[in-house]
Amino acid sequence: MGLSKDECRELARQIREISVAVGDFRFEHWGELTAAQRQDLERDEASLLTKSGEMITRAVGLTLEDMDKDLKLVTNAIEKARKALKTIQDVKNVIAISAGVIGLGGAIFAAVATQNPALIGPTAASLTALVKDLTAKSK
Amino acid sequence: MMRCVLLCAVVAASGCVNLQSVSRFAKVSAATADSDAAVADYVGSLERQRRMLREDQRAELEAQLAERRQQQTRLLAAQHVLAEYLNVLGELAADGVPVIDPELDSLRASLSTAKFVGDSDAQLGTATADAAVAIAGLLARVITDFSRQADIKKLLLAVDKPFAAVIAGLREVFDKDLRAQLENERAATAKRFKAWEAAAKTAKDEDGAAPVARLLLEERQLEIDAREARINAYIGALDTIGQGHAELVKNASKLDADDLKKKLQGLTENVKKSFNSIKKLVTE
Repeated sequence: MGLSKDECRELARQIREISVAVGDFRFEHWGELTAAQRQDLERDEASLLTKSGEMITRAVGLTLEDMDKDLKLVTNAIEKARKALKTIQDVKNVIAISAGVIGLGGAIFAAVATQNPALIGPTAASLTALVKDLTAKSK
Repeated sequence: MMRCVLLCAVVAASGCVNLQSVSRFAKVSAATADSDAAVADYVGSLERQRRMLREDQRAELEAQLAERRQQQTRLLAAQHVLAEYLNVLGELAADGVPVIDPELDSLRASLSTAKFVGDSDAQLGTATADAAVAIAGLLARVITDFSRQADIKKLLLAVDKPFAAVIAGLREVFDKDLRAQLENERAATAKRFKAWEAAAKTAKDEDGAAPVARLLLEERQLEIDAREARINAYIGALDTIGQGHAELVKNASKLDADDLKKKLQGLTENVKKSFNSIKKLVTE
């Protein structure tokens, strides 16, 4: 079984403390140690700090894994909310289309009354253009 | 008479709810949550620690740095999702009930063009047509506003738990892991300067290199303190954003309540303070 994130953090802390303690020993006994001994101790300190960092990296990795599912849920909700925002915009579009349909009704009425079907064409064309325009905008 | 009563009822109902305080809180929070500067230290601090190592020790940190760069991208993405959510919430809560006057004008013109309005018995009177257009407009606004409030409530309730979990996850990384990394950087920095100081003392250079080493170490530690202050400010912002969101969820059915507005104003000010602290600490 792998380490939990809290175990990783605790290990990171303990390993760092050991590194600092080794360093303190090196500084306090600087004059008594040979250059080679000082170098060995320094290498150990650096290596311990690297190990401590690895534990931190592992803890962050586990936390990120835990967050993945929740992040997906928030992302899904954002998509739904964006659709809701679009619906508000659609209200405007519905009114504009209604006005166009009323205009078309009037044109048909006038065409029948005057026996001139050509009156329908321009109104129908402008309604088609409006619907096309709104459809393109809503994409 | 009936027409007048209906019109009055619609006008009364159309008093659109003012959610400005919700929108403001969400937008200020979005800008603050999306701070790259605080996350940058996750890799930045390890890179500085690497520079404190001897050349032959540096390779040891490469794999860790590569892994952290990938994790940093995921942390930034998590922050970005929070910010995007808060932005959408802010947009929904904004006074964004659409202005539909041009559409109503065109509706009125269409009614006239189609000869539905006029003086004959088969046509609507001008006053009736105007009232009908006005009622259509008010109804559209009311429906949009009600739908907007319902959408906000639905959104808040759906996101409540995952939002709190993401805030808690980010907080955990900043409070525990980033702080621990700064402690490692502190130790790595001290190691280098204290060795210089110890060597100087052993060589009886008490007044030269030893105090300079101490001073330089202090300067480095102050820089780390400033980065830790930035983390604290970001954690403070996350806490306030989480607190504000919990208030919104608790009051999801009454988002225009005076008590909530007051609380949100205070919380927004606190988020702004954290935002300014982060910005100040980045530019310093």
